[in-house]
Amino acid sequence: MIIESSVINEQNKIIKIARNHKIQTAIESISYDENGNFLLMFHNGYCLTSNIAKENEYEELDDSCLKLFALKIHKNNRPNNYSLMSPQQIKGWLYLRMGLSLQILDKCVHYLTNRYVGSQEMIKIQVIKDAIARFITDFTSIELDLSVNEISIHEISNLHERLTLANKHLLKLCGAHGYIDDGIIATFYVSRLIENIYGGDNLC
Amino acid sequence: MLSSDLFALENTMGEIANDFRDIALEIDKNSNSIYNHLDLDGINILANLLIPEKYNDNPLVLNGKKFYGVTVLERVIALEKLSYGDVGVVLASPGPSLSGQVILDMGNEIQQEYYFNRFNRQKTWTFFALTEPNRGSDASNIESYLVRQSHDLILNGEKKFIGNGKRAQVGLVFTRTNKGPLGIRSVLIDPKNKGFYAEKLETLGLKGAELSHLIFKDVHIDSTNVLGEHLSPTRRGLWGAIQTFNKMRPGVAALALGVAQATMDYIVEQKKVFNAIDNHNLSKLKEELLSVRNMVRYAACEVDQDATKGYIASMAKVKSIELVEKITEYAVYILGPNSLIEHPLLNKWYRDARAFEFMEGTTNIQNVNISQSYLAGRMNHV
Repeated sequence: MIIESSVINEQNKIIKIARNHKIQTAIESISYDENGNFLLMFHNGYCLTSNIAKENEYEELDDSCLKLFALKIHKNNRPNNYSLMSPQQIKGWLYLRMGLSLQILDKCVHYLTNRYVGSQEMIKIQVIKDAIARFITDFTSIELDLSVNEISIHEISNLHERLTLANKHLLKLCGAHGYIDDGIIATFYVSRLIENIYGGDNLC
Repeated sequence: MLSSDLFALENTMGEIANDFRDIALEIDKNSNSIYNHLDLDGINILANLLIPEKYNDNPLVLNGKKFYGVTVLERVIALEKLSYGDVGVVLASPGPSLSGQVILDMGNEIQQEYYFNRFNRQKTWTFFALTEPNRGSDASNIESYLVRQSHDLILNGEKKFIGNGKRAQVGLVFTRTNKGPLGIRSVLIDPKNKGFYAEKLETLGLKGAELSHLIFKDVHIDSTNVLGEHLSPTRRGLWGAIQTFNKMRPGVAALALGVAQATMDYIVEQKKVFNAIDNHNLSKLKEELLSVRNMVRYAACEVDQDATKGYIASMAKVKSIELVEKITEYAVYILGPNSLIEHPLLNKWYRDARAFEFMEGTTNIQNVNISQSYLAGRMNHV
């Protein structure tokens, strides 16, 4: 079964935004409903957003790492706070994470190009190329599985997990540079947090 | 099997570590709040760990035995337990830390006296500056340089990702005086010197360590602060420094191991009910923990006997990092949806665990060391 082109277009659009813009912008891009209304996407009581929640029932949680990305987590303190996301929204978070993975790849390549160990450019070192190749292979496999099958919620959960594993191939490539400010490890952390809220077991 | 003295050390550190756990999240949120907790027993012990008997007025005394933390085995036992409490507090604490080992190995008597005696007077933070922005921790390609201008030595260059760089009262800088491995030297530096600039870096985790960016602009260094003048040219250069690094590496592995054990115990405490698959996975991870601890302690014993045997220390670091990353990842999955939000300690350990990779040489550098040691015929067991 082949997925409709409109779905693929939506997927590519979100991936592209997440790859090339701040995470905040990417989250905003999937936070509107079909009528153009901004949504706080609560799931199992929590919401990751760039917006300030106006309702008193929502508690803003303290996460200094998210401040780097101008993001917040809100907790919904109302009883029965379980909210069901639409299939589009569920997939939207996965596409967003895929874009973040490509952003991590781009940052690694940028960092390693024109950087030398002795006389050798780092991007050309075999272990670096090996790590990049492993990421690209895992990423492509996820992309292919998304394109040819009508995937179930359980499968989306697995794809989130596979994406986390794919990201790990890249995590060590920027050394300590990746651990400071909004470097690749902070991006990885936000991506992992998204999986923790909107993917994984939360979907099953 | 540990001796009764070391067993007592392990137990005492385990008890003291509870204090560190109590302030873990506070230090994570604001590293400066360490100044409010300087009276904690664990911090007092760290403030005097690695100070030799000659200069140490306040050693840890257990069952009549004095511990100075000058052997690597003593340190890995203490550090693992304290890191179990909280690695952020360990790294935020005053004390000789990594630079103390270099002073022990490469400092002359006057330098040791200058450096170690200050710890008896007041709580002192130190830094150890090797890594550079353009060269990472590739010590052979250091770019910062020390030159003689008439009677003075002048230091220029940059160091990055230096723990406690901003708040230290004394530090150690690896720099270049000439081309080649013999041209690497280490110098003691007072951050109050003109031309010394330090800026704290924003990190994802290990906030207590206050990683910093240091810049040296025409910093005057007294020639008496250059280490290793009394040693042979080979011992004072990179070769000597590498042996010192070999002694530090098991300590980093022990820190990672402490976080891994803390996470493992947290899983058991929080999850409570386990299915057969969970039990199987946990059992495998527990075995792995014991195996890595065995390797870390073996590595410590090896470098205590022969500091050139750094390859075991490299293996220990590789294995402990692999383990802490695996266990923290597993914890997020097994504690389920929103675990990174609802378990702040787990969130902290998850972020902290990703930092060990960059301390005291990356996994790639350790792997190069291991394979080169094998190919050079330095491993008798393989």
